[in-house]
Amino acid sequence: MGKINFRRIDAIRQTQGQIGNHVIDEFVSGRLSRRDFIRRGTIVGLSFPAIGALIAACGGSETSTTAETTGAAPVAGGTLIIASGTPSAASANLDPVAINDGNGIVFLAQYGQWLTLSQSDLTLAGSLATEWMPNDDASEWTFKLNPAAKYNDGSPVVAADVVATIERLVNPDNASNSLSAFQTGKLSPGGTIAVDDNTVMFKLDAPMGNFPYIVSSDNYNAIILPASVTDTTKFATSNIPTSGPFMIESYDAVKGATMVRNPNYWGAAPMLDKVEVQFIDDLGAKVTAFQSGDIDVIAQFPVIGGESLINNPDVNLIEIPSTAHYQIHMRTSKGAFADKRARQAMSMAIDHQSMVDGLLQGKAQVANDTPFFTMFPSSGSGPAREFNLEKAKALMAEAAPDGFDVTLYSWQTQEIPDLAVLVQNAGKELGINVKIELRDDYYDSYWVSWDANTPGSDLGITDYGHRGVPDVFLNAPLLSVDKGGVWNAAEFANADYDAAVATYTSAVDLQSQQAAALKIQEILQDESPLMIPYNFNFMSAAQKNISGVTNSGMGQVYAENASKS
Amino acid sequence: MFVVASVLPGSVGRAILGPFALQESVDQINKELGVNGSLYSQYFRWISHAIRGDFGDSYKFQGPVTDYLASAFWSSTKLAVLTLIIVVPIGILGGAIAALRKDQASDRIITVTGLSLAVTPEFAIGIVLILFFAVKLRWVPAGGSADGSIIDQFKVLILPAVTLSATLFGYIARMTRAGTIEALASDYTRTAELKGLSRSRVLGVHVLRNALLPTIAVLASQMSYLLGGLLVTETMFNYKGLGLLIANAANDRDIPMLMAAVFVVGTFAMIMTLIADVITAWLNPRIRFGSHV
Repeated sequence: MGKINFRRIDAIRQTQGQIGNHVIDEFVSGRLSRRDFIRRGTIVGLSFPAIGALIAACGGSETSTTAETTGAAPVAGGTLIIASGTPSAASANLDPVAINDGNGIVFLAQYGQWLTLSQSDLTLAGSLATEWMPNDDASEWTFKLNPAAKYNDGSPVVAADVVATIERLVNPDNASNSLSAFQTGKLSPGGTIAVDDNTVMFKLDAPMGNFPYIVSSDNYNAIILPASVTDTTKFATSNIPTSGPFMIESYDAVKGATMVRNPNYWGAAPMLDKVEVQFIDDLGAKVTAFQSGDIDVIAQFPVIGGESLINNPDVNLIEIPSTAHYQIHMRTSKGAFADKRARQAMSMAIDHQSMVDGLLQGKAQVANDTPFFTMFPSSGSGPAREFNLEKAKALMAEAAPDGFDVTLYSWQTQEIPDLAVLVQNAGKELGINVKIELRDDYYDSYWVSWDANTPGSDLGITDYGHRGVPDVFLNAPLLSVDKGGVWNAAEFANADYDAAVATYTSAVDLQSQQAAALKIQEILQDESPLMIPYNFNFMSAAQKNISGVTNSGMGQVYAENASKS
Repeated sequence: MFVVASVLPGSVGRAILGPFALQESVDQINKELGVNGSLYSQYFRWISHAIRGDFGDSYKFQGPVTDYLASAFWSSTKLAVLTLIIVVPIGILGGAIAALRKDQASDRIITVTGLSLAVTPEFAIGIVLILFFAVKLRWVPAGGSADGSIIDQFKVLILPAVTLSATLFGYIARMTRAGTIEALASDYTRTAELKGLSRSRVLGVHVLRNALLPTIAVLASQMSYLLGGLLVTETMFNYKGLGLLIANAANDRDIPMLMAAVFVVGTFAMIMTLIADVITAWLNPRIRFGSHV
């Protein structure tokens, strides 16, 4: 770091609250790296110009990363054709309250906008909100809306719209897909308040240091709609005003949709005339449609089956490190893995690096059986999960010298079948006979034991999508059920863990988060309710004549700045 | 079918709301849809509406099943018609030539080609066509929906239609060949030739008319397949016909959609069989209704 300009820093400090100033102090003192400062700064509401000015004041220069296609010189007009899968039943009518899969998210990114935007480098950028700031303990967050923001019918986006939208999403009666995210965010019904037309305050049930992510594009259901909207169930055909760069022109729930440029868009006008989404479920059909030039962009594809797109010089590969991952749960409360040593043994028998290199062809990062991925600054330097077959066998000799039989349940998607076989092989080394059952009703019956009629499973694989912060991963799948662990397939109940997560959630500075994170990682590796071998990259493909398409790890494909040549 | 659909694994509510929905929400939607009731009451409700042409609303799309069914039926019909336009004349011609030149080189070529195509999986034929005509030459799209102008629709339909035609060619040519050989060796053909009828008249009126009877039966049995059983071809070409609709409805536990689609395909199969019987009776006076030998 070069010479520090304290006068310039002080000028910015005067515009910030206690938490913002704490982040600035940590950076100036060298306790935060530049990367962590950018990310932490965006969370507590430091604007990008302010962050840039602070970095400059400390003798550096600002850079930013986005995953974007680069191609030939942009040309105005044209239609961008995106291939995506058919939306799930919940997403079939594009109801923003109900959308629950990547195929629906592709649409939200075209016509919807959130208060904040979670970017591919995990920083937050303003979208409908220009600035946000917590109170001193992060139990209240205030967001300022962009006064220029308006819907496609020309009406302005105001605070009452934010209140109505968020209240609809936090209402348990609405079967909102984002209910668990808001529970993680400590926001309850009645907690969203319009201070004035352009100011919204969120009063949380408890301090939450990462709250701006809860109203960001990570929580994709939270696109802001006018307060006058009361029914979103037929969204695709109901002409509900939205504020994004495109608007729905036609929609066929079986074939796809066409979206046209929003004539009243308040940002820079998109270069494209239209965005067309074609529903193609079969990966092979997507690839051949891409190779024949029928489509311009494949919204997402997995490594297995997508080999012809990877390392292909004729393809604009968009690859974003994401925190999407598979959780392999081992039930802690009863059954084959009730003994902690058996869980530890199984975890140590899995070679994470081999999985990344072999199964994912390097398109992933090694994880350590906790949701603290290396991408998260709050992960700190947590303990690595050791691959140690000898130690694993010794633990198994103590826990179950004769081995045991167990059934691994999951469902057929992406590389789960291959992952299941690798787990099976690891089990064989320890005398654990793993039988694999991939079932369509995994989530109904064999994931979480919802009631007496749903058995859950001793061993299962569940897929989780990307999040910009680990909070959701720490809460619903791992907290004790009475503390909010609604997706706790491992039936893990640990008071120390619950307390550590509460500490982490309420922490507002990186050092406190990292301290809590270390404790959480130690508990999880010791108790071993989950195996998380890796988090994988989000991959899209675009034709070489396409430029300006940006993606997020969550699945948004942004065409606002896209063009065809 | 209703019983089979009802015992498909998984909950309707969870299929609609998704894996991460809270159980309370799943229970609520199951209650709203009435899928918690007895099988008997669910079936009675369904059949009482179905006989009035009301197949109910799709669980997935939350709109009338008939809207989606009509669109898929029309798509499948277009593909089936183009396939028949291609394969019927070629198959019959091939079979007839093979029979007329029995045991000669052309017979062997047609027979072996037909058999080879019949045992080659659709996806293998389809992918070769896609790679050559769509990816390499870029003459036609690799798949999609048959919408727009007639020419646009033809471009989308031609590759799947040729794929299906290749598969069906062997069956039709074989049946025609066998029927023609049998007809050529029959007494009535010999009589017609001895009466001095021209070769073309003998073939057109006496041989083919009788030789096509088994072919028509084969075609009738293939019609329901062409309409609702093309899962592999429709998936490969991303063609939204009845086959994909049925498969997706089963995956999504969309029971009203599944029941209606199977009902339509079943009804269509019965109608085609009836039509085949009528044509057979018309071609062959010995089995015409009310006639006596």
